[in-house]
Amino acid sequence: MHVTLIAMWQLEKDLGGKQFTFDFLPGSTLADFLRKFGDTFAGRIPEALWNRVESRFRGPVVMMTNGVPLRNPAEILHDGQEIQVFKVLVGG
Amino acid sequence: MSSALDGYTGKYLHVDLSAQTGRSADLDADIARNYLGGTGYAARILFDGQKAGIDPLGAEAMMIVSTGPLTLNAVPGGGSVELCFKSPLTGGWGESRAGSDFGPDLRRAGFEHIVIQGKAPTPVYLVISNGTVEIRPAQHLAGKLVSEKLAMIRKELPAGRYSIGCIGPGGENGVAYAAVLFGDRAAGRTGAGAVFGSKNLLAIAVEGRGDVAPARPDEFKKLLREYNAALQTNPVSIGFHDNGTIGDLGANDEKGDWPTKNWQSNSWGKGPELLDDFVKNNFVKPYPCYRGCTIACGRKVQVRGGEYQTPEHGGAEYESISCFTAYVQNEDMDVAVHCSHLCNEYGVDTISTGAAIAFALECAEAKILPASATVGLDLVWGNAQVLPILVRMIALRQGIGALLADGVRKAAATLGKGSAAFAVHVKGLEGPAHDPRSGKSLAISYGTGNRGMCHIHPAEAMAWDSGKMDWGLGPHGLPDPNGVDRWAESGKGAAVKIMQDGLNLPDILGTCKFFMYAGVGVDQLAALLSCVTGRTTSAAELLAVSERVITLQRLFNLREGFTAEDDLLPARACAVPAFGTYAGNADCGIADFPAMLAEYYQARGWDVATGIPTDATLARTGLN
Repeated sequence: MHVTLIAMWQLEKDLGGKQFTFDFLPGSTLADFLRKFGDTFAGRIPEALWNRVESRFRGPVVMMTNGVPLRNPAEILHDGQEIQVFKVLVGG
Repeated sequence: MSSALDGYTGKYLHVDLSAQTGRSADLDADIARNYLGGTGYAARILFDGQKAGIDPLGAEAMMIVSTGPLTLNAVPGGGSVELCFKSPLTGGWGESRAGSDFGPDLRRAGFEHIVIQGKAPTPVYLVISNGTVEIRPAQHLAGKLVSEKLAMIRKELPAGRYSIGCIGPGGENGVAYAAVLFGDRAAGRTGAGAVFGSKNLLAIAVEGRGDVAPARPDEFKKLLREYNAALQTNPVSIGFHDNGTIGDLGANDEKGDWPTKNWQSNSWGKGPELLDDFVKNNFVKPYPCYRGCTIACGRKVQVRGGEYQTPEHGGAEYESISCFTAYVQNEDMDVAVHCSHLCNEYGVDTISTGAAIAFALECAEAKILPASATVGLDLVWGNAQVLPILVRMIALRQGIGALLADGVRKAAATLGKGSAAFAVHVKGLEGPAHDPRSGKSLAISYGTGNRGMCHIHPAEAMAWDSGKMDWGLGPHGLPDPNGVDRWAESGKGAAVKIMQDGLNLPDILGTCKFFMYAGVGVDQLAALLSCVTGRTTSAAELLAVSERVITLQRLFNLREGFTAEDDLLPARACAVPAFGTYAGNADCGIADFPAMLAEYYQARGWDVATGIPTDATLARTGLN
């Protein structure tokens, strides 16, 4: 199945593009998506935003599908899913 | 039919602590129309009611506890309270905000503002309830920590849902940057706690059961539903909730937006690992600072054991933690969380306290401090153990703490020997944990902020040129940040004028600025205000009020003797970083700040040489 990452705002520049589609086996989870993200982009995304050791975002990076935040690594992905990824500014 | 004060309680409370009296007074409809509320209404009262040159810690000084017409629990960000006064730290305009139920509760009690004058002969606290005020003796509270005072006061109060604002030993001891604590939330900057202390006013408790009804209730409810629904799916709102302000520790370090080692650099490289450490060991859960907050950016945190153990508490904000890590080169997150908690317990501003300690460390390194003041203290960069000791010494004005308690500007003036180069401040207010060498528009914001070197009052400008936010100000003239070079200097002065006018509005209307980041922009605020007051107010009209308020606060400062010289940045904040990610990077340095300032003055309609508003500007803003 296919899942598309949509890089929003600053991340489009960091990742070098707006949309990236990845193949996954049925039953794959958000944790699988994050591992694939790390395999693909770990060299491009600043260490400040990506924990290479734990394959997770670091700091205020928000993942959403259809306006719903994705927080649970065990969440099952579905074919055709689009995941928007935002780096937001929170340090007030 | 609407009246001039629809959407307001129509009253404020005047307290004379010398006479031990409190009375209700009518709100001035003209001031409400022209200045709305919050820091705007308070600016008019302070400018008209307080003479220039008075001692900010004298009995004649005024303290104004202020709310705005949108200070309502139902409004996004409406759990706000503003304190306005002449700052004992800067000698100029002082304002400080906290997120809390105190503001909405004060309005439910029937008052928009509390105007406090005089000095009680002995310590007191105020109890305000449904249109009445009682002045109670508080000698038994003197010297207690904030949490102790709060617990004792709560035991003494009658049944009811009271909100309490309270000072700690720092305010009682006249620390120039003492805070007023509203629970775990501090109105920290510019020394409101010292003004409370100078009046022997230790706390204010308020409860109310009244209702401030909007003039157009159905439309108001519809807007609230729409805005709250949008906030649920807004990524910035979600980012604030999930990460808190501390979430940007690593990202700001990476962007060169993290003043380090008393501003010798704008990055350290340890932000990401410190953030991981915090999330793993100190973070407990998010929490809202007032009932109804849909963002809940607050963090419940604790140090779970060891020498620096703390109870679970609200704290560890980005600014506080940065000042007790990067500023002083401390790599122990437990100590940073502990010091942030200590500052709240002793009632001192975390930013100025951390900055004053960083100043002291650099003075010690340069052997400027008198040996007698540092006996037993190992004042070296990165020594975590000395940090909590210094926090207490400052709050209690002990030893070197007495010197640091007056702020770095005064400490440098006392010490001499070149220490002024280590005193990073504007107008006497110590710099916070954002660096204009990451986004040059912040330089102008720091220079011209009426309360001094502040990132958030009125505008966190590097969030535009570096962070690429526009807060919905694009239709109101702010250029698209995506076309802006963060290190360019030209064009930033004019843009900052627009940002300040926009981002000053939450302080006037009595809301939280973070909601502007999450989509409740000027147009939304104008729509909400129109529903509340029943008078249709456009975004342009709101921005005009904000410009009037900023100009009046500027006049307040000019009257106190400030000049264009006081808008200049410390050399440290303009210099090419000495080490770190951007070491030697000339792009970071600020090459021509006076030219940026001139551009800003021009945009404001202020004399380009003197920074004084021109007659035409005074006429345009209604201040002539």
